[in-house]
Amino acid sequence: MDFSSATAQRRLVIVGFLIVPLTLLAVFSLYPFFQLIWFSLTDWNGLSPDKTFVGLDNYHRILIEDRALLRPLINSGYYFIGSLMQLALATYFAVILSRGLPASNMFRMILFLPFVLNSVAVSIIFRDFLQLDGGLDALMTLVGLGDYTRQWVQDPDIVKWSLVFASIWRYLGFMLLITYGALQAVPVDQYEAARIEGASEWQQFRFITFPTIAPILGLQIILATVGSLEVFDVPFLITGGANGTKTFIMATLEEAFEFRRVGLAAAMSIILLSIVMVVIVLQRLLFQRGAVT
Amino acid sequence: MSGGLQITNASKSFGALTVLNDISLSVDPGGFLVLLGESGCGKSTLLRMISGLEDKHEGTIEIAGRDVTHLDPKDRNIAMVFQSYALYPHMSVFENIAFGMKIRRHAKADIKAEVGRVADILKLTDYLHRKPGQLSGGQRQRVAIGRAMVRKPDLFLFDEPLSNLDAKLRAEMRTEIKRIHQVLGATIAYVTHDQVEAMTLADKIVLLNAGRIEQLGTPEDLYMHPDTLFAARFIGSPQINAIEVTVHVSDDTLTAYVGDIALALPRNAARGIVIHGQTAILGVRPENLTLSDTGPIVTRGHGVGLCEPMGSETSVVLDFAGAALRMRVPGLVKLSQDSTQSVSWDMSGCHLFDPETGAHL
Ligand SMILES: Nc1ncnc2c1ncn2[C@@H]1O[C@H](COP(=O)(O)OP(=O)(O)OP(=O)(O)O)[C@@H](O)[C@H]1O
Ligand SMILES: [Mg+2]
Repeated sequence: MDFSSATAQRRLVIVGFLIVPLTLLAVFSLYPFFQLIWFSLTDWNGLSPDKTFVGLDNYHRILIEDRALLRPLINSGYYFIGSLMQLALATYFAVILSRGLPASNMFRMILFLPFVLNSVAVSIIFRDFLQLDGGLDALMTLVGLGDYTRQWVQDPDIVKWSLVFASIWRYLGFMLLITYGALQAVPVDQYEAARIEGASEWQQFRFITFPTIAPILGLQIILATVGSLEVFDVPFLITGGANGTKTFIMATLEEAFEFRRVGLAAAMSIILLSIVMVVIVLQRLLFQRGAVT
Repeated sequence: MSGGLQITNASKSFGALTVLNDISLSVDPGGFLVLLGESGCGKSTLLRMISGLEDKHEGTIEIAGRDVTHLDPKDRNIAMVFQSYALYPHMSVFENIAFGMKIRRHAKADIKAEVGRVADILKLTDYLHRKPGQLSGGQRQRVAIGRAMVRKPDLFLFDEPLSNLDAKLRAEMRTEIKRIHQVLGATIAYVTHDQVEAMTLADKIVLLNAGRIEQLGTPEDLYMHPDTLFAARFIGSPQINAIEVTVHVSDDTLTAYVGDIALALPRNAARGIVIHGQTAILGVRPENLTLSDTGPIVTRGHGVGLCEPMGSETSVVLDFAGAALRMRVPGLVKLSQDSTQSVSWDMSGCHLFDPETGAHL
């Protein structure tokens, strides 16, 4: 090859830059992925050197024989509802912040802070906060709501929402930041034009802000859906899955490392992955139709 | 239906920076006011103050006989065309134009009829379903104007609406705006830094200089009777010749001396008293100079500096005692760089300015 020609050099540069990421992708993503598929077709226990090919037995068991394995997915519904509330909150705060509130930098910092905190730390804080006679109860008693304290973590009906609340608190800042960034892209003069034409704050949001950030909100809903299917850190650290707060990822981990059924766990992962993909495709189709272009 | 505009003693500061200083002016109903001035002189700020987008200022603003100083933009009954158009990118042309009416809850049928009428005037009928992103600059411009037209405002505000357009389109749109003004009989305040736009469109020009009114008057006033050297320089292309002279007064005649060249001036070159021997700036428009060696005042032996053919005329710069002398020569003329030329001066429209303050003497 003649390395002096511009095209050849460009090719060399492209190939050169691609080698590293492609290698990493192959070694750490593609290879494990295919191995996971292979495991899901065996009865491997994760330790023994040999495994037997069992075909689709694992899938048959999860989807037909033992549906209880899928039950933790229901919990994702709570987190999904939570993340919709979170998105609404984040948009609300982002709109307010971008309206140039005094000290808005400080508020932005405060709202974003939970996200940069370590998950473990956040969860430990919440565990103590939500404990019987913990921080929340003390706070409520202090402001005279002592009669309304609950068993935040112990009561199976309430604990899910407690965890959702912790989750919202933790990830609100991240959504806020994305929405805030999207808001910065709306030119000020559009708002000014609308003000002159008589649009109220709400109408400005409805007719200018919302259509402009809708694609970003759509993206966030996709992220939220995927996120709520894959919730792990907050419930794992606060309740450890007790009281019916087990999520599908936690169940998968349990199968793999506690019950030593790696084959089955691999099949669960693949099923989760398929659900996530279906959701993404569905939402893309949905948003593309509704999206403003 | 449309009323005038009156601004009294308006000032505006951003922090320590005073952008507008004691502006007072009035426009009759149906008048066309042009705010003219250099970049950064405060034109947009003044317009935004009128619109109410810029609050916290001193002075009062009246639109159509109503004091709107403390009213919200939406209560001032104005329409504004932004320099950047400020179209809503996700709405079609129809929705863009209809937006104000929709906000004000007009009936669907009314909106449709009104938008149709405006689109007709602006020749936008074929583009109503398009998004602004799919339009040319001139079409967007017309959408922005259309958005203002569906309202029946007391006052139209235009902020450099033509500055993004090419020369041909600009001339077309200028005619269009003039026509709209006549058709609607609306009161308009129009910002520009383009003196041609100002001269062609305005009933009245406000020339701003660093936040102050430099001169307020009709286009003829500003061109024929500039109050200051700044005004004289700002209007007219090529720029007025400003020559430093010494004025001799004897009996009732004025004579300007450049070195030992004497230029006899009419008495109205100065409005007031001129002191014998005083230095002054003599302003002579390029079109009052001709290449000729006959006439009451002729100077000779000018070297040729620059010759720019403009088409129907040639812009020529000659040397005059070391300074540039701009003039306009009809037709396409090519003057040799080595030649020397004679110039005949028509002093009837000349002006004397104070070299320090720039005020008309
Ligand atoms: N929000 C603001 N804060 C501080 N200074 C400002 C602000 N807006 C404008 N200025 C200043 O006020 C002065 C006038 O600005 P303005 O936009 O009115 O100028 P302009 O005459 O419209 O200029 P151009 O022809 O370039 O549009 C400028 O010096 C500008 O820097
Ligand atoms: Mg401006």
